[in-house]
Amino acid sequence: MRRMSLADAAILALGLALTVAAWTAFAGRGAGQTAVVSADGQVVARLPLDRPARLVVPGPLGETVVEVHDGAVRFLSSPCTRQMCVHSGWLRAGGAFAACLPNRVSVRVAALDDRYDSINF
Amino acid sequence: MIRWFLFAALALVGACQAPAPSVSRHEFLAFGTLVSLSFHGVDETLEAHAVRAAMDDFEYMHGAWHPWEPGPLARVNGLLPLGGRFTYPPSLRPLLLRARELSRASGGLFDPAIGGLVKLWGFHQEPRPPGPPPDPAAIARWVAARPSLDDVVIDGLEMVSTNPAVVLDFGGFAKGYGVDRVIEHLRELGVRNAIVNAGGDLRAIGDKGGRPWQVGIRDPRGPGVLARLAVSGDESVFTSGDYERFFEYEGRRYHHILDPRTGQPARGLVSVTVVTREGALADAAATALMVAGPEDWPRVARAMGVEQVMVVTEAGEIQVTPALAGRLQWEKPVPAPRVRPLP
Repeated sequence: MRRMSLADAAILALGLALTVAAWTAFAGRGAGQTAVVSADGQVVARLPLDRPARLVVPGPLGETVVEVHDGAVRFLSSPCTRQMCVHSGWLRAGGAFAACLPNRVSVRVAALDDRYDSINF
Repeated sequence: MIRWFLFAALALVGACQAPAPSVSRHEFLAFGTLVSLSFHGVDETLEAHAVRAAMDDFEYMHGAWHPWEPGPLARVNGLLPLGGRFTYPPSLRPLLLRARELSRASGGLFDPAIGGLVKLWGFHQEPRPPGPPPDPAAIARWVAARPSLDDVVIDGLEMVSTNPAVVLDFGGFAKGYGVDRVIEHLRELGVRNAIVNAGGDLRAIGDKGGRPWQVGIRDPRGPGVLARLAVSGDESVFTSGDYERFFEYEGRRYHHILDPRTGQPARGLVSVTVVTREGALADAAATALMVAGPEDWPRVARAMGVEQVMVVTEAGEIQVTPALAGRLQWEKPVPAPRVRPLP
């Protein structure tokens, strides 16, 4: 086998650089992910996770506030008594899911390749 | 040179995953909770039909099995304390018989005759109105009466109760049994690959075009997902936890999984996750193991015939059976789980 030439090495380096670039682009935080917000089973908003946002969702008990920040989404506040939705914290991974059942609001992180198909709790 | 180019090209290809198998989802409120359906490889017409069927089934079962709202089970609960023989609605028979088997297998730690105690604690109301825990004397009376499903004689389509304290509440079981019935219905319609998730408890059949379904098990205490589990073929994943329904009074927390031996909320475990084929078994076992507590749960798991269990104790320790230990992928740093073989 011949020794590797400079051009060979350059192409190899380019290939590896592209590999790393593709990896960081597609596995990056919040990239290509959206928070799907539903009220009473109907989708009311799709919020891209790479843009900070705050959404007020009305429900039977009052207003639930959903916040997007730094590639993640959470229930900032909700008028329910148990606050399970707020305690769910930040949702980041594709397929992550939380809901405020009393106020009938749910949030799911949707990604091209969801990490989870279903959440058990 | 060509060789190196091919190598680089292959490295690039390796960085891209095969396209994700398409999964379609539907969410709706039913059964007093949020139901989520996932499908793979199901055409649009069948999918619409399947979603409708699942919605109808859950709605029917919610009405039929509700212990208090007017319906077949509420009628039974009205007649049981009278002590006479009566004809019960035939649709309840398979539910009653399976619940009785599971109750016996659990040594009474799961027992649907617990309705009176659930009512004493106020957990039959959603949301529970604020207020103190029940009067200890009332709890003591209930415990002394020790109502059990074995106090109900089921004779064909007739039943009679020998204990007036028996009130049926299938809370720790109906969800699992209901998910089983919906999965059965979806299969009859021709659905091969699906997940039916009712309020966090699920049964998954088939897979996603040769790839297993990925289930995230939520951390019972912190935010996010504790562990990931790949399931395929036909498996249920059910979790009972002290965080699902509870109230606080004077700084103390009281949750809804009640120990029929003491009349009090079960102590020692924060959550129990059971993985097995049948949803009804997974549901009843998760309840019974919560009641059994941190020392005794492996014995009850063996008695009920479940081999894959994870529990989280109040002290934060994770205990897991050997059969499940190798399958869990931790999604956050956790203290080394303690492996508990079943006796």
